[in-house]
Amino acid sequence: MELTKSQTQHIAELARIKLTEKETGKTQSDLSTALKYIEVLDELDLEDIEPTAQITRLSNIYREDELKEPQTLSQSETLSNAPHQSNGYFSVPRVL
Amino acid sequence: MPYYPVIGLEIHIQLKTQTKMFCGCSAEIWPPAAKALGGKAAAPNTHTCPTCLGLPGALPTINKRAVEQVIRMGLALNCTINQNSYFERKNYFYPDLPKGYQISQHRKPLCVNGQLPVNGQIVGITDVHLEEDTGKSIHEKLQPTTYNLQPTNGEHTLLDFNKSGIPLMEVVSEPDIHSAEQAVAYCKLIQQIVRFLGISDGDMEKGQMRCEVNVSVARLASDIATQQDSNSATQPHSCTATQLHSKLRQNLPPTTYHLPPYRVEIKNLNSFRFVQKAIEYEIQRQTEALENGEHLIQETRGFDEEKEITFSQRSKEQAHDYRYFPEPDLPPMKLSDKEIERLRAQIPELPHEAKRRLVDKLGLKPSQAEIISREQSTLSYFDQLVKLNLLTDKAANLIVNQPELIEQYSPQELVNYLEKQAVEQIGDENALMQIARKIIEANPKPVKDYKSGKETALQFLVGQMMRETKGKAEPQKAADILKVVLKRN
Repeated sequence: MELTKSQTQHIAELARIKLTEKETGKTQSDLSTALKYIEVLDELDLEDIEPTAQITRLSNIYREDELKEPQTLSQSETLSNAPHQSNGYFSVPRVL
Repeated sequence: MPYYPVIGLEIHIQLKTQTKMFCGCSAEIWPPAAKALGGKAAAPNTHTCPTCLGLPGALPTINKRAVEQVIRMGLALNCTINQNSYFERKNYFYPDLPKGYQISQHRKPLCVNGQLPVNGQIVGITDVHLEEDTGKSIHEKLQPTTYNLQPTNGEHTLLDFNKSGIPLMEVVSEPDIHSAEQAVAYCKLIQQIVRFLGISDGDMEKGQMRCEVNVSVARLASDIATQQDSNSATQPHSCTATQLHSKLRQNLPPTTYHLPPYRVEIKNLNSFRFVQKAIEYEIQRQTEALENGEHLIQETRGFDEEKEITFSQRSKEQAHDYRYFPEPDLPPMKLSDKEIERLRAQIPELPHEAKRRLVDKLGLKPSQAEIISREQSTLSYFDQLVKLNLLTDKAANLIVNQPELIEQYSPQELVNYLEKQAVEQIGDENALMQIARKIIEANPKPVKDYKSGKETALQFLVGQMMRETKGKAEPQKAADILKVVLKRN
């Protein structure tokens, strides 16, 4: 399947990636090639196959709701990699 | 031209668990000790770990209790349980969502197709699903001096990830609600149900319950038909507006209406009053816009709590594209019939069921039943009083009119207290009888006057009774007792 230019721009927006005109063209062609590569799967007859959400064959793996040995970090550990912080909070450019 | 409001609700409720949804961090971000000191939340970013901070490589695990709580909610709302359910990733960028996706449910939510009777009308439940809460954002323009480092000129969003990963249940209704009052009644009932189930405190001030409403206004099929008739031929037609208004007053759905081609979503309503005000404002705004021939669009609006109006936030053109896909880090949940029945057995009598029982089986007034069934503790207190052989009406009146007694005594203590009071009253009556006899003997003249029809003579005897009891007797009661004794005399 060939991606259109506007589809490519939409994907870039969703990924928060700014593309120049030239990069848009290259990405459009690269992504189209990738899509074409997996199109081979369309040849399979999957008529009677239930869609699969998971391939581990595991199910019902739960954690009991008990407070034991949590991996909880201290406030200073939590903030240790934060580029900006203030009074125990992470600080980012205002979003609203 | 009347329009018919069409309303659906999405209610987010934080579940009451010890640990978070996908990690072992404590979910108790309102410490009980601090609660007594004025309800202060825990210090920011102190209930956080690599998983709920979205650090690379951290893996989620499913909190079993949260899954069970959502299933119990689904069963309480008469839902079908999806026996093959799984989590999915909902992808979007926002600073309070550190992974860049929220683990939620989309194609196979735990519970689907339920219904709930609200004031005698059925509200369809589309689904009840489980997800994780996001972090908390504080948008503030702070003084630069309070900052260590600043990315911009004092314009910051501060982030606290304590609530990131708290189990969040979302209850989605069908657009079956047609007035602001009915929407509020629905929200209140959902809040009561989660409290009866013990799965959340549903405290709206603490953000444990948040409402989103979807509002649009519809034209009625009958009106559209009428208008087309009048367009095709200029014959007079009977207007259905009166009938419609009468139906609206009774909150009955008109026979047919067309679901509007747009809907307006209002997010983050954190009180019942705001739910009411936001819906009322939207119905009026949309009706006026349509009457002025405007075209309404699909959009998300915010609610200004001070002005009590809504304002546009995001239109459909910029609508989200969440690209849901199954969460590869979490195996699916397979729920057996046995497991579902085990959870069903844990559901207590629910507030709306209790209300019906109190009215239908015990003969209480709906207003009494409403008050008694609001909280589980009150309901159980009432049931215990009835079990202790107190008359239902007496028990109901006590609870409705004398809450101070309820707070002071256990049901058994209250029954004892009432018995003692009754015995004392009888004792009082016996004493008054004796005094009455004495006074009648000592005052033959007024007694004779009274018996010959002089009603005022009784007042003199009552006065004597009051003197004898040093004013302790109630005049009305003294008069009643005198009359009884005089009759026998």
